[in-house]
Amino acid sequence: MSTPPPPVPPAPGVAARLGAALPPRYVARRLAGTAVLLVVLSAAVFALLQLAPGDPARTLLGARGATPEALAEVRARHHLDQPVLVQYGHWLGDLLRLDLGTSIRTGESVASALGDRALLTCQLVGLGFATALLLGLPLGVLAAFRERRPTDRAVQGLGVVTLSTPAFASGLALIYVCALMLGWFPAYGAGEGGLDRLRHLVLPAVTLGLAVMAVLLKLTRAAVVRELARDHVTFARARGVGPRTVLFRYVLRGAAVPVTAGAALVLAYLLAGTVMVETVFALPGLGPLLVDSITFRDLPVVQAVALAVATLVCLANLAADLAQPLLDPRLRTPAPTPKAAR
Amino acid sequence: MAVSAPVPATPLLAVEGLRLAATASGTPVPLLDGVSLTVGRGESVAIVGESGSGKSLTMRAAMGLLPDGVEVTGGTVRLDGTDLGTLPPRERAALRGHRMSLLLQDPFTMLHPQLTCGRQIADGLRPGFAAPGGGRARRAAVRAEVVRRLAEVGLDAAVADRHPHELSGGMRQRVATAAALAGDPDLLIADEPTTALDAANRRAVLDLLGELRARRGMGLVLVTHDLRAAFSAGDRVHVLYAGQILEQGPATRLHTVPGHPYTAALLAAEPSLTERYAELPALPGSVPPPGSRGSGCPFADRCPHTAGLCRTTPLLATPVPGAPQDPPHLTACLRAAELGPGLAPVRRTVVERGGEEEGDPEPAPEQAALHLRGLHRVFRSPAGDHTALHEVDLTVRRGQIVALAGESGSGKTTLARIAAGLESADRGTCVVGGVPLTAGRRPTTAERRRLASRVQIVFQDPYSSLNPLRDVGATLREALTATRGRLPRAEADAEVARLLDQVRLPASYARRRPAALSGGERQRVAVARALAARPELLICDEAVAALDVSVQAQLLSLLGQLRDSEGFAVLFITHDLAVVRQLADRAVVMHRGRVVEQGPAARVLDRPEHPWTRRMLDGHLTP
Amino acid sequence: MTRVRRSRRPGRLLTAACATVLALLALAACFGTALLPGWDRQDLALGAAMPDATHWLGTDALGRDIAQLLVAGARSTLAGAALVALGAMVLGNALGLLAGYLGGRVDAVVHRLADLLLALPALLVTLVVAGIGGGGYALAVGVLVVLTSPGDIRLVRSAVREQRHLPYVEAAETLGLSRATVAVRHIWPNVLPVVVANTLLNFAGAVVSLSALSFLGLGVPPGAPDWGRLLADNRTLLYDNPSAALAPALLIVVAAVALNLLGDRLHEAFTDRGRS
Repeated sequence: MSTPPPPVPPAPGVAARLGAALPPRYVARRLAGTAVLLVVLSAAVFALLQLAPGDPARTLLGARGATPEALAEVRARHHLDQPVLVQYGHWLGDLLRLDLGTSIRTGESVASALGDRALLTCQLVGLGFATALLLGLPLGVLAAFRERRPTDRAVQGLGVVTLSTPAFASGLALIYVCALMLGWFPAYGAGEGGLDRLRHLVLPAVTLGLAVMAVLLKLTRAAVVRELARDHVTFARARGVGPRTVLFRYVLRGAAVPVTAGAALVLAYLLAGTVMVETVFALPGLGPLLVDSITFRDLPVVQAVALAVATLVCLANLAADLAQPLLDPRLRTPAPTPKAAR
Repeated sequence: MAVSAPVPATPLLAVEGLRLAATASGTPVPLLDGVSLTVGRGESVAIVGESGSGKSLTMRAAMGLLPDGVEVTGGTVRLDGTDLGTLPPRERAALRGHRMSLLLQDPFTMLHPQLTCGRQIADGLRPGFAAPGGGRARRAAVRAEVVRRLAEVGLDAAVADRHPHELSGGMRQRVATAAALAGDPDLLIADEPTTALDAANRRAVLDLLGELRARRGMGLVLVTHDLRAAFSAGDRVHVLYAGQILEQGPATRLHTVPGHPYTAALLAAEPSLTERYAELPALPGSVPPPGSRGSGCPFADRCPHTAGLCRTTPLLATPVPGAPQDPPHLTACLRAAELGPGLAPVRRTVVERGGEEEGDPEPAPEQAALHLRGLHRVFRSPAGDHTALHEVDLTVRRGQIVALAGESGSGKTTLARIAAGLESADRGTCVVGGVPLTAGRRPTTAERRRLASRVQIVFQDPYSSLNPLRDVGATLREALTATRGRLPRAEADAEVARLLDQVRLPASYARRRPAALSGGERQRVAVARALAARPELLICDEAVAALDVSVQAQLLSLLGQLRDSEGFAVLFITHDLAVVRQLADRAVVMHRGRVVEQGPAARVLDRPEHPWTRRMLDGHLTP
Repeated sequence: MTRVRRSRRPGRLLTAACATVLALLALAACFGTALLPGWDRQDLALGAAMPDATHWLGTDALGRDIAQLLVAGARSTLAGAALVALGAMVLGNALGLLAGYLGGRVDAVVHRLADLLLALPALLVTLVVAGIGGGGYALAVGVLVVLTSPGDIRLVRSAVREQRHLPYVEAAETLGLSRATVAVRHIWPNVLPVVVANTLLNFAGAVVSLSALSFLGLGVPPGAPDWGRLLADNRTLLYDNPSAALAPALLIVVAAVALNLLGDRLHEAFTDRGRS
């Protein structure tokens, strides 16, 4: 081979690559979209007050004596005599000052009622998500590589069973076996201090992880199966790219796009599961607070929890959206020839 | 360029008696029945075959990359004398890339969309190649090597940091070639490397492969369905049919003195760029599907020379009588000696049919089958505007066959879609069979109903041109009802039978689902569906491009005959200038949304005036 | 491309088993209360008891026979879920066809809406809306229908958009058929198998979701034989009669597994057909 050595241009730097990978215009558009979404969802949460049957003032007054004075006082405080849009404006204003109102049931401020419990819920969600990732991703990849063979069938079967098991049912089964029969872990409660807390959270986290694993498993398997059938994987194998590189750089990299795009779905399962798991394991997190507040029509608390969930949903979607162009360069720069022109 | 090297004692690649079977359904269905071939160092061997011949599977088997459900049931594959079948999978995988490599068909799917081109080339480099020492020095060495590899295939160093979607098809195929050769293999198998490319790129990629082979002294196997590509790029050619090799020999000999009726028939069915024939001798029928092949010659059912013994005697490759035997010229035809010179390419009558003369007066807009003036269309997208049609003028007279030639992206399909009412123009006049179409919007349902009897369209892909859930009869009856109103059942059935007969299909096909039809048969049904509307203009959008040569000839003949008997006009969209020569009265050449040249077909092809027409003619592969 | 299809027998057996389970459950849902007129007989003196010969699965705190309660509860558990799946199918297909075929602004609105609904945790939204709205079971089913439909909307919409430019669809258009005719007659039948498979999966999801709602105390009233409710009411009896809580849990799982497996099977069969 006698080609003269051509000049080698330097590889682009990290900053340049990041700038190219996340075009500011794209980021700005996504941020604006998220803001709009947040406004829509906050309006929906505010509308819960209108949804509750009966006079909103009575709803907000709760079980306390509905004297005309008390009602008038509530109406004045919540601007209930003004048009709905103005009410929403005031409500949003309070919200931005982090004034979430007071709980009808306990009379304490909603912010402090949430604060104690949010930490526990976050711990549980974090541990549950980690469990789901550790189980779901490798099993999904394994099943895809053994597509339609016994291993795949077994893994898929496991996925179907966990998908079909409500978190409260698997939680109950785990309590019965691991706590009552074997006595390995405590059945109920949140525990005190770091290690004790962790010991108390093992069973709940596993329960939650199992419920969410199935979704991740399904997403991952489908994505990897699709990826394995692609020409570029065959081509990589045919030109001698090592199996490890093929797996991590070619197959998984391609599969990462649809899996992260499904993050919203995973979050939905995670949040729904948390409520049930906390109820079953008698954990004083946000879940039981929400259920109790709904039962007692404690609207400010329900609205606060709903808002927290809505914010989380928006942020997760934003994160997934921002991850897409990082993972897939085709989304960064418009193609030179539009597809419409054939 | 190197003349074919003599085959050394141990050839680089030796496939012997290879048998493959599909094992998916439990009972194995044979796909490949005893295929043998050799490839020497520095030699270029073409394997040519129609779809279903097993040509790609043969090479996948050689690479050890058979798809799930296909298994080797006999025979050996040797690389430099080593039997690859006996190697453990790990050792076999280690050969890939470094001893033998495979280049696939589609440059748009072969490269990973999320990795830079440089990365993908670097991944195939031999592991021990870079200087020891870590990190920065190693990375710089790899990068320098990648840039060198890009230069080898004629690409700029900047391509290393590009992602595949930022490059054109031809450039991607070059990047893929560099990636396939990154491990410096002794043997490169190229599986239909030109099929997805435009004519101009086709020749360039074949030239590049030939150049690389000569420079590196590697063996090259070219797998293709394109006779022209096979004969222009292969030193030796193997003709594969229904899982068996029917003929093999030096390209020049096969081309001039074929030793097998199938090769002779394929050559005869190929339209020519320079001559128009009274008729393209088409092969009847299609390739027998796996599982329905008997013990004798698989070509017996379609062969004009079949004798009784042909159907029962297993194939055996024998030297063609009178042929020089180095390199050997072998045929599997029992009757080769007997037929002898009778096998020389079927003589085709050349006709001088001018069709239209230069300077014929233009018909009035409402008298023409299609009348376009100043047609303009821009596709807007965030990536930028794309002018698909730029002030296009075009007239198709009644009963005339006009060929619209151009590369992909030239705007020819957009034009066809506007004329068929499937797309709208931004401005300009479009009158189809006297029905004016309004620019700026798609036609309404009422307008489309009127348009239906003026224009019909046949698309490229035979596999999606029919609704998979409906049988042929239902498809045709729907077309009849839509354009002529509801007919009594008996009358509709008779009409369906008549339509099928027009496209030379038996009436019993009315009860078949598309899945039970071959590609050529589906295209015939698509033509029948169009004929049901009795259109004045039939648009064929690359209608024969996806078909095998023998089937393509059938359809071209059919279209010519139907035009003569029914009197409709045809707007035939194609990238293949030989098809233009064979079929068209008038030729229109498009480039980047503009009509660059138009005139009587013979004049445009013989005395092109526009440089782009000349470029297309130069890019045309000739054996 | 050809694919391995190893022996199909275990797969067929499993499919048959799923179908049998579903048939039995359907029977119980239709005729359960009629066959067991005394299903809600109480025996307060007995209370929660372990399984024995007369009470195969023991009794709950009110002394009711668990086995009979489970058979009688099939209707309330499955009927709502079936309603959710079918409602979502109708809504999703209608909107999906509309969006995919009309394109433009309608499509943009429907598409956005579907994306938004899909991102919401359906169970929590149902919990809050049904709980605050005070509509009980009916409202919960309604909310779940809306929140389950985006899956179908996306499925049908993308199928329509994919097929809209396929030659056979465009050929039907050049024949002068109206776009609605083309969509309903040519495009939709080709998506139908996937839609049916998806509806089975949605059914399974709804069984799980509705039982979760019952478990959290929403939906059906206390004491009703709904499986989720039984599980919630009896979970304190884990020491006295574990089967009072575990048996309904198991039934929920079995029903959902059968539906999920059948849906997956159907989906796979359809993609196989598309491949060959």
